[in-house]
Amino acid sequence: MGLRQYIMKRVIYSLVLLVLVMSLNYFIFMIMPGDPVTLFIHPYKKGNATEVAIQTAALRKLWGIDDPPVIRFFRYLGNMLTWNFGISFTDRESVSVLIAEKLPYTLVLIGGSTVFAIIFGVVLGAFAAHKRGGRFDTFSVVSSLIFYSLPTFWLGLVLIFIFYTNLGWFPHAMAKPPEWDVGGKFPAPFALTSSSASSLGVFVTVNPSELWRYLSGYAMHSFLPVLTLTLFQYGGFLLLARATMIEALTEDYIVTARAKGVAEQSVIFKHALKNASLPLITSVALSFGFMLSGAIITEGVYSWPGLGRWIFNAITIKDFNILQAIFYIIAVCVILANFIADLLYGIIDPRIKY
Amino acid sequence: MGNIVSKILSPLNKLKGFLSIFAHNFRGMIGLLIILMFTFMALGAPLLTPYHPIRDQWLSGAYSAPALLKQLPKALGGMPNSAENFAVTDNKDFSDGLTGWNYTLSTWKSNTTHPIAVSYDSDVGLNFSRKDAVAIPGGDGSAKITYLRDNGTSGYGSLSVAFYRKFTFPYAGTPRKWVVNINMLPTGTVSRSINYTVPIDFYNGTWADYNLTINYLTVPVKVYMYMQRLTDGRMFTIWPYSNYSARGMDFTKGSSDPGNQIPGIGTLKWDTKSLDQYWPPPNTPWVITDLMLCDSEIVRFPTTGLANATTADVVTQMFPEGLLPSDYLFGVNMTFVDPASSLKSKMPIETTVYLDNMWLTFQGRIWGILGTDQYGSDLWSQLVNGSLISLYVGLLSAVLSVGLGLIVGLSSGYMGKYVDEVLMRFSDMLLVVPTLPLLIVLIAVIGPGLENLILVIGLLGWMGFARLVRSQVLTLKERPFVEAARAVGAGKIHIMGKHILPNVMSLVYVSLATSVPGAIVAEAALSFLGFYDPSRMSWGRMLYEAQGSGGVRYWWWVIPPGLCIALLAIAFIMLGFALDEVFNPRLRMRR
Repeated sequence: MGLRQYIMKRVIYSLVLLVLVMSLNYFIFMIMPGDPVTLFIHPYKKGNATEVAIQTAALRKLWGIDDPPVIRFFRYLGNMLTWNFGISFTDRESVSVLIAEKLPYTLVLIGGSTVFAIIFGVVLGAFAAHKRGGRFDTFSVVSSLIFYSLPTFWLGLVLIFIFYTNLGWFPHAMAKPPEWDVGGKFPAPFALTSSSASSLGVFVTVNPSELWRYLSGYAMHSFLPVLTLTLFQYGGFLLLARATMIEALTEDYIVTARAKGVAEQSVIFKHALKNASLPLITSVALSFGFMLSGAIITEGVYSWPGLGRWIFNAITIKDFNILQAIFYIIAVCVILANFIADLLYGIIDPRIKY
Repeated sequence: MGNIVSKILSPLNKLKGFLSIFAHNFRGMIGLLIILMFTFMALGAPLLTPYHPIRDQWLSGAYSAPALLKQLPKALGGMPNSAENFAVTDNKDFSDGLTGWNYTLSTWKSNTTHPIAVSYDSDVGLNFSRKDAVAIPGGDGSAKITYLRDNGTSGYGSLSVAFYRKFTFPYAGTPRKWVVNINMLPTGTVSRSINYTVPIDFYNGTWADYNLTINYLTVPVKVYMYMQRLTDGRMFTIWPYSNYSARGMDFTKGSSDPGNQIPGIGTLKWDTKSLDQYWPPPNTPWVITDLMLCDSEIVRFPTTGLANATTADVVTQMFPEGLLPSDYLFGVNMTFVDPASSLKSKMPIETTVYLDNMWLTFQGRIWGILGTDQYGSDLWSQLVNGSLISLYVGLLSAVLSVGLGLIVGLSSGYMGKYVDEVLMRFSDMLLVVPTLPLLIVLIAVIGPGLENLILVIGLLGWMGFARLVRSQVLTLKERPFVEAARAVGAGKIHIMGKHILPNVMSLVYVSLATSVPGAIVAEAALSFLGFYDPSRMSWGRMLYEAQGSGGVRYWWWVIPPGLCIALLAIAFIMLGFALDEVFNPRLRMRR
């Protein structure tokens, strides 16, 4: 099978999966109780029955709620494919705008913690595999098993208990200090000044103390959530890295490298780890949904203003558009990531033939 | 005969062989031990704790600490002086006369007897609940306070009586909360009457003299309840509280109001605001339901210097650590308002107030093995009963998901073609959608019962195992023994059940053990997010309640449930690993 054929097969597979997921996404929210129209109508109107009736009829017509299900389904497919997610019924704002507003917070959380977790997990896993059966190996396996099976929210509560309640080192809620929102206390690390000498030039001046305040404010607030998610994820990466490294370290080319007199560090990181990193890539690609689950819980514990808490609120108030959009985006991300990982295999590992 | 015996013995021998290998697996044995421990906890819950995890409330004050902390010094996080539950209930129903109770009458300058008399009435007992009130004739007795003025005398003005008892608060620490109960029945005497001759004006203009029977009139009674600290004489009124805000609750020492003198203790100054709404209406037996319970959570103290005084302030002001243990009085003060200029002043007056069931309880700050939650329910009982829920959810969901995975994997692997394609795409679809939000959405659709949790967790957990079984079946399918069976003419179902299934059973056992932790943690996570079964207290819900009520700062509330979840999860993982090693000798060698 040639590379082109392989890619074609993966593309078709991905598209089929996408359509399946979109249908699931549609039918789940079709059977979910709750009425978007009543959610959308402004609370202060709720007392006036005639106004509500008029508005309800108008909205039902506008959103085509009474159309035949088939038409609604295809309209939904079209909207999803054109990246048109509609509005949030309760926030009364475009879902895309809201996602763009909350995504950075969640990306910091998930991205930061995943990077840390991979670094720690892979390095410690590689060492554990190298000294297999030793004290460090036992310790790291046991500790990662423990962190792997600890409930995330409990880990978060305990970290709050230690670092906020007892030590008072880190704040326990929100993404930035609350006093920033009051009366222009928000740090201004950069200032635009027009130079007096030349009327044309506008300079960006950096205020170091403000910049420090800005960065440290966010860093302090994100420390505990990122730590929680890092601990939550690193166990899995460590176990995976250890298993693949054990596999890789028994290969012939490692024996060859050692026989050549290559430094042990170089053997581990350059020869073995490079080859052992394939399954890691797949696991990262597959774990988007997993990370989002972690984010929902962690953001709930730390009142973090990101996607996770927003999704949770959307579920409790039954704001379907948000959920449909998020499910769809996550599914697309996972499918894409899988697709890319499948292709990357061939680039990283030249032994793989399609 | 020998055939039957060997048929019975051969699985037994197999089991024996399995156990002898398993018994040498250290991790597996530890895991099994932990699981057995939690099973004992789940099944033996009635032996371990007498309390219901949710229904038995106010066993102690909210957020009580474990009792063991009382034995630890403060430096180690102990709470050596903490108050425990405590009640002043001796002779609360006056079944023993007025023993233990005292009263003080306000000054009476005349040389006649004081118009107020305090006595014991063995014929009347009061039994009130918040809904209805019953005065039981011939009950267990009550205290009777009578105000009497003869016919023709003018009003005496305001006269008062304080009816109280002394108690010693024995602990050196502030209690969490107190509750005072009192039943009162203010009444004019209806049985005695006097005949009046009254001229009556008829409509047709004629007059006639008629004899009318008029009951004795009552005078209004102002009532307040108080507690007094004898160490410094400070007095606290605890009822009436108006609109839950501060109003005349504090009585400063030294202001002169001869009507409210309490000899040797101090002078009271009545707040001048109107209390009309608390005045009992005349002649009818009247129930002051509001007086049933005075609760430190409702009482508020004056705002001067203590703007928006909180609940804690009430208790800590009345029972400050520095002054404890100390003697206190608690009682009721009644003022009979009988102004000299009133219309009633020339008529005979008799007003009687019956008092019964006067008691005072304190809720402590220390309780049981693990303390209490925000409703005063026993945390230890919640922890013990939570193990049953976790085991139940974990095992049943694991069985459900492994069963589903087995069926899907077997049919997908063995049937191949379209069956395989459809089933695998379906499982891919479920793998691609984020699990936790999907779980929550499904729970929101079908409702948060425990069985629904099991169903949803089981239905979303089979995909990984199905893939594992499928890949195993794909290799088994090509083995000679399957080909032989097929050649003999065995059906698909027969081959799957008799030849392939036994070969994947080891996978089933291992996966049963390793998918329990996921289910346990998923249940805990859903409960923590608020999707719990409202009739049951699981470990996840304990943490939810702790976070929602601010109990996160108490380690004895937060640490145990999480630790239990983690321990049980790790135990099942260890069991799964051990089973894996027992079934795959290759793994044993490689270690």
